[in-house]
Amino acid sequence: VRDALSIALPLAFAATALIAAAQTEFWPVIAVLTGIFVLVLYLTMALPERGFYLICAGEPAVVAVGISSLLPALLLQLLLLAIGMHSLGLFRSRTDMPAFLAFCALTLALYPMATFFRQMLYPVLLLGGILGVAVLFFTISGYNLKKKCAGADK
Amino acid sequence: VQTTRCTRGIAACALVLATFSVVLGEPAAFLAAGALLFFIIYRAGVYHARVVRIAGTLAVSRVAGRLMIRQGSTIDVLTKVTCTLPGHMAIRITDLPPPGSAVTDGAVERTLSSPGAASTALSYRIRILSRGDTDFSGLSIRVSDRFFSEELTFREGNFAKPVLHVQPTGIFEAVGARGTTGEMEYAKRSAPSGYSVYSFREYATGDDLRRVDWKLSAKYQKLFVKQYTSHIGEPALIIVDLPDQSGSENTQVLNRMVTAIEGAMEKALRQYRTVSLLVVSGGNIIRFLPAEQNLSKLMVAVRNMRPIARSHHFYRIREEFALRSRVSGIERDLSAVPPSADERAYLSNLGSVYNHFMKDRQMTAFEAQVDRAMASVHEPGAYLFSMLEGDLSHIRMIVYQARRRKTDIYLQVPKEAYTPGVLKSVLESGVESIEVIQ
Repeated sequence: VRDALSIALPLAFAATALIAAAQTEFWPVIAVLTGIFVLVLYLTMALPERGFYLICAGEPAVVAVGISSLLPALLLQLLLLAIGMHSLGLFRSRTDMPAFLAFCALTLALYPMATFFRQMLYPVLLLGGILGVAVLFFTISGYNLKKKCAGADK
Repeated sequence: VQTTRCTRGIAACALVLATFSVVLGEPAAFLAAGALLFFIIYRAGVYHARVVRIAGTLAVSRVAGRLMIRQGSTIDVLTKVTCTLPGHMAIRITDLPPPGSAVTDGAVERTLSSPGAASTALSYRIRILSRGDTDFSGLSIRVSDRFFSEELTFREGNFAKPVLHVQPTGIFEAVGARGTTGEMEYAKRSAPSGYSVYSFREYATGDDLRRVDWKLSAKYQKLFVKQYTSHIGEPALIIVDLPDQSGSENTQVLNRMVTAIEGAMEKALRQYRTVSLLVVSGGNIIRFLPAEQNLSKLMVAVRNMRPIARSHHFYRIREEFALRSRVSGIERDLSAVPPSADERAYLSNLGSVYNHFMKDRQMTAFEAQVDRAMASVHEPGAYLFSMLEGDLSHIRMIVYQARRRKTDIYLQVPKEAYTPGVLKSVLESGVESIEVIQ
């Protein structure tokens, strides 16, 4: 299954990008960006942090597809993150896939945000707020855990 | 929680896309940026849940070769650590020996990365340089995955066990063996006047038989030894040895030492109402504040401490105590050698040279000043703060002067200066105890 995913996920990404490109007038740009992604996929095969390079290489193609249509772009983005995770070896245990699917479901909430606002400043600020709350939560949880481990709360 | 290079890269990518979306008003870039940020949050959540799971399953059992030991001796420690490790995680385990000890052999660190129930054993040897009842500092783990890493320190319960009972050396220490070339002699010390018995404990191998309380032992059919009161409370004399200006300029370590000095002064002032502060740098007296009651004046003196250019060094001067012990050692060797042996002529010549050298030896100005400072404060104990950098002759001189005045020296050193070789040589000069400034 693991080997199948390493072929299926990039194939799905390239196919989705090219199908989305066929619907737009600037399909050559998307095709070139997808080609660059495939090239990076080939060139980084032996690198330890391959997942990060693949995410970076795939983002231009995602944005290019998103200029004409947002839903395929969102699908491409999730596929790209799945490729990144798989490259980092994070799909090995049984619990990884359900957790990733839950994350995908949460990420779909971004779509109404992107379509609702005409200016992107407010959704970006909202995103910053969500990030701030998450950082605060993890900081407090981490602090409590450290305190518990050190026995300071006894 | 620390982020890895991969996480920082993804965050930077998300930031660029978010900026792009705001500047150009492009929803696609916002979508990509949002997905990347959600991805980081999702991975942080997974990581945190796994760290909590690891912390919950971590267990340790530590066995020390002996629990009752003598200051300066070594013991073997075996620490077994078990935990359940989720996939894609690595854990670096570091056992933390007791404060005031030095690892002399073995490894205190190991990394585990195989998922599932994992266990490892750390076997090492430590030398205990402090005294009193001391427990282990705990166990530290660094948990890391592809995106985050975090260090946790466990200090409670089994993580700090067992407690080591470290007996001080020196009250009835026997004279060490000496050869013709003159190895180190341990000072023979009697229980000073004013020392009294404050408790009893069971006899341990190596205890001096003169400390056995025979009445109590007969009553309980077990050997009990007396424990003497030695040092109670904080010393009211604080000696600070400032580093040389030409040495390493480690201001962070110096600042930490200054903080420790401030703490010691505050404690001593609270207890005795006066504190005497002697500041030296190598063989140079910088400042002496006898019986000072004003904390702010002491604090000002301490806070302005900086490395000093040392104009005098004592590495060519043999201490009086060392000379005396050397001469008495040669005399002892002479009495053991048969009259016809060739070695006798050599030893008597050597003894004569040392005797002449000792007669002509003048007390240095530094020794005289330190002696005057110690005589003026009449303290049974003194803290000596030093970074132990470079030549340590002046430290030995201070310790010898303190011994002349029956003053115990409690050396406080930053952990950076904590090398077993240096500490051993200082301990051999007669320092009562060594504590590490963390």
